[in-house]
Amino acid sequence: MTELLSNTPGGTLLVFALVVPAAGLMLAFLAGGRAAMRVAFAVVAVQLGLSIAIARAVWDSGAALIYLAGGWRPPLGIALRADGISAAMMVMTAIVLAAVALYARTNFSAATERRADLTFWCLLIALSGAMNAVFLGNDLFNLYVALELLTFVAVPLVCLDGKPATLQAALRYLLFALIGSVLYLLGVALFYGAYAALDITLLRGRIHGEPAAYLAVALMTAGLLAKTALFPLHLWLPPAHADAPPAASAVLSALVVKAKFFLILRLWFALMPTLAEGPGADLLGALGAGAILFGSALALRQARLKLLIAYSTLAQLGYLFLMIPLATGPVNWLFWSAGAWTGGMFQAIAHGFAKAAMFLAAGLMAEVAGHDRIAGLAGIGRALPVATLGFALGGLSLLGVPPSGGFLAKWLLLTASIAEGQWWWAVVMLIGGAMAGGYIFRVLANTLADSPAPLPVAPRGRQYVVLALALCSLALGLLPAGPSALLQIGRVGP
Amino acid sequence: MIALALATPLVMLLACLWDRAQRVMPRLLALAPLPALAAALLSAPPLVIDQPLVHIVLEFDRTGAMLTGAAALLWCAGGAAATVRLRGDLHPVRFTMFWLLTQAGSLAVFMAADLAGFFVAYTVVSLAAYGLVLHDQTPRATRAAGIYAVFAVLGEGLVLLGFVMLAAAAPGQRLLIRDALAALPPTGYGAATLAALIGGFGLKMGLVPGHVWMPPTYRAAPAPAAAVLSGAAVKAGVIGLIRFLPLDAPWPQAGTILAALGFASAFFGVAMGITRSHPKTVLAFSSISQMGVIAALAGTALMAGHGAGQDGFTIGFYAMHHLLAKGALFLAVAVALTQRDGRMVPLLLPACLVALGMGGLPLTGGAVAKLATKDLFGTGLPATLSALSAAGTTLLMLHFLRRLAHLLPRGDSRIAPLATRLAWWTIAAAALVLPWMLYPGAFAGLLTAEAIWSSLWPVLLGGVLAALLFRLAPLRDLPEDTELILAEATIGRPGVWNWLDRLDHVLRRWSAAGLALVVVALALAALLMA
Repeated sequence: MTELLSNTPGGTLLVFALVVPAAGLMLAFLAGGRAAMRVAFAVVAVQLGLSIAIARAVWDSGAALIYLAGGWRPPLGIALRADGISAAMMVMTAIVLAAVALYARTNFSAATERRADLTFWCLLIALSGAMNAVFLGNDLFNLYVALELLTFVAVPLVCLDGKPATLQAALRYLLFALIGSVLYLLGVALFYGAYAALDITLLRGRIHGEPAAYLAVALMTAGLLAKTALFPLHLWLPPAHADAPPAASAVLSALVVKAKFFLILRLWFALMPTLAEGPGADLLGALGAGAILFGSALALRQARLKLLIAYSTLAQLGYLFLMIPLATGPVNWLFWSAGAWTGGMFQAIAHGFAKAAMFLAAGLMAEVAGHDRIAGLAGIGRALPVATLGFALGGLSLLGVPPSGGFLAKWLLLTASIAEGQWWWAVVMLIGGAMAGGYIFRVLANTLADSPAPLPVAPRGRQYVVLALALCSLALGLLPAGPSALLQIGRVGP
Repeated sequence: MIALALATPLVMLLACLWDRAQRVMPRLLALAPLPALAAALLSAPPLVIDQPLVHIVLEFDRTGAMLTGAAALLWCAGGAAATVRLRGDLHPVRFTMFWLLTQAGSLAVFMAADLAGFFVAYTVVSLAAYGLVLHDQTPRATRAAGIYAVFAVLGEGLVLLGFVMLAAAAPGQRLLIRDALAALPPTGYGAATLAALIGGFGLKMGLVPGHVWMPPTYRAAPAPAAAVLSGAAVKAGVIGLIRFLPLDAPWPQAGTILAALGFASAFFGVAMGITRSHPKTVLAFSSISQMGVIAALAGTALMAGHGAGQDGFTIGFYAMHHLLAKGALFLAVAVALTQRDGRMVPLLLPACLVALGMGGLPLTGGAVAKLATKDLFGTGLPATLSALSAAGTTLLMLHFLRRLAHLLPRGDSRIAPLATRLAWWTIAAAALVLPWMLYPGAFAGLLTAEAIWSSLWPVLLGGVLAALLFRLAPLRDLPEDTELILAEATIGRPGVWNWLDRLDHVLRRWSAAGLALVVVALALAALLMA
């Protein structure tokens, strides 16, 4: 399938998705204080509307939206491109950011202005822009900039409270992410040197199996794996995600790691579509399988709730990588590989909603209980009934209980792995599911227990945010066929 | 009608979120299954939900309607007993919600005619029961619930694997169970699919060696919950076997394995059951034994391959009797636990009939159920084993009756609440009578001297065994929590998995992570450039 690089109707929407957060960030920075929060709310709301409009436009036209900056065609100019998976991820991102903003209103709006408040709201706006830049970029160097932006937003989010432990976690994250960036940049340089182009669509036409391209893509993938924290490169993820403020943990776990995975998909499926048929894809799948087994087993062993959720993120990321060896193959697998593609993206989206819900719920539990030791959560079910329900529903989606989005994702990946004769991935997924059951039920049993001294009943407001996110994850499995067709639009296939 | 049957418990569940309805709902538990009962009696027309991604067909066939009706009756009686149990309980609303959810799944699983619908219902009944087991929150209940969750999820995973394999063999999203079975190839792939399904449903039914969750679970759950779980919920596994075994063509090897597994469970349950003292634990082992008989029945049906219509109904018929009888006996325990007077006859007399009926006492519903299996078990080894297992069941039931009588205190006088006693009598009567009403053949065949003798001698043998055993070799009781400890040990003793933490510690060192990054980059480059 060849795609012409020219402006499409609706292409200008893509520009707004980048300009609005950029303008918002300036405004918030200048306005400061509580005004920053209002700006952030406005940006988040506009982004939600824009992302839905973009998804609609992609759906209506049945093809990717493209915008050429300044009307210049690549390689001179820079193209923005939104296909089905960009649109879907943008909508998910916008919804999660809106929910996190509503949730964080209580934590980051002190009457006296604090540095953390202003920082948080500015970072939230910047995150919205950086995520969209990743989803819309079609130029490898542009994507590098977006990636760096993302890192510099994520690192301060980790250490927002300025405690030594979180500073250390943030530094680990920063250093490892920078090594990843260097590898990525090296790959970009190789591509530019070999083909004098950086646009993904252009490059796809020019690459004909030269060693330089393979080396470049290997380096870039390794760099992105370090930034995704795929097992065994996860040294920074557990402390960074577990010690950040809950609102920050939610966006880090639900969104930021997905952006890096998204770029790997771009490299393996849009830039060099034949890669995923080779043994390299099996290596990524094997690392994903390792992540599922290792992450789930460690999640079972954690004493702290937020660490448990962080290790669960590690495991759930593994499922995403199983889609790489499964979403491609000979023509007679077309039905199944398309299913695996949809399944992988459903996993990214359903996990985004579910994990955000779980981290936000964990934050509320820690506020009520004063700690997040799992063994000490007795009585939480009484004090936070709605948030506990949200946590449970999010957990059930991770576990893959029908009819949740997580179930649909796992079902599609499982059927693809069986039908394509790669049954070993299915075995890993089922073991991972059983272990997920173990850690989810372990938390629930503790929250449902009676506490010796009743805890104060917390206000409901923010609990409904948690529930709403969990319901999004659940509802994904009940949607009509629209989303799965949307995810196929603009996919570079055999 | 089917929609109403399933919507009623679910609407009541949602109503529990509303503060004002919370006080009322626990009192209405007995009413929730009534629409399902009516739908089963009238054999309501199918319900088809046809959305692009969600395609669900719920319909009644002969077997499904019979099991739905019996299960609805038990849920109704159990609900009445539960309402009594919830008076003065700390968490009536939570119990009510889990109860209604389990019930909705338990009834829907008998009606589902497609893969997706079946799996949703199966999952709901399996996972929601967790809340019922956990309810009392004693240390024992917490541990039992944990074990239950692990085994439920494990079985769920195996069933899912089987379904995925079925779906992969028959592409298309609207997959009816019969179409999926028709597309199953009789090769190694088909055998692997069967193995996954039998493994999953076998865990649910508590077949040896996957039985360890069952005794602690039924012991820990409140008696009315144990009644519906052991009676109705566990039949989700049985209907799974009925629906998903390809009974239309002979599969001798798979059938033999299943039958062997079943008979092993049947005898193992008896042998272990007589070493326990609490009546709930004894009943749990009887369930393991009876589920074994059902699995053996399914195995012989799979060996013969006469056709799903007839053999599936026979299995369902036997399961229907067990559903009512086991539910009734757990309700008897519920009565005994609340009874505070010495009048034992109204409790023990029906209990004797129902309990010995499970062994096949002539003229009871149990004898009818046993006779219905005659054709399938034939005359050879399976028939002998079946008769011997009936003798074993009689022995186990006599042991149960002794333990039940032991539970009744003497002297104090407070009679069990009427609702609990009514629930018990209703289900006991149903267990004795319903098999007669639903028996597909002619009654004359049940009343011949030969038929009566064939059900009588195992009971007599069991009685003699019991007399010998109770007199000559007073049994030493095994500790109550043997299975709990066993199950926890299989999952992992503390300390066994400590190496994982150490591994994580090593991997998260800079040196190790840096090395791993280099290795991953080189490996990728090598694999891609090769």
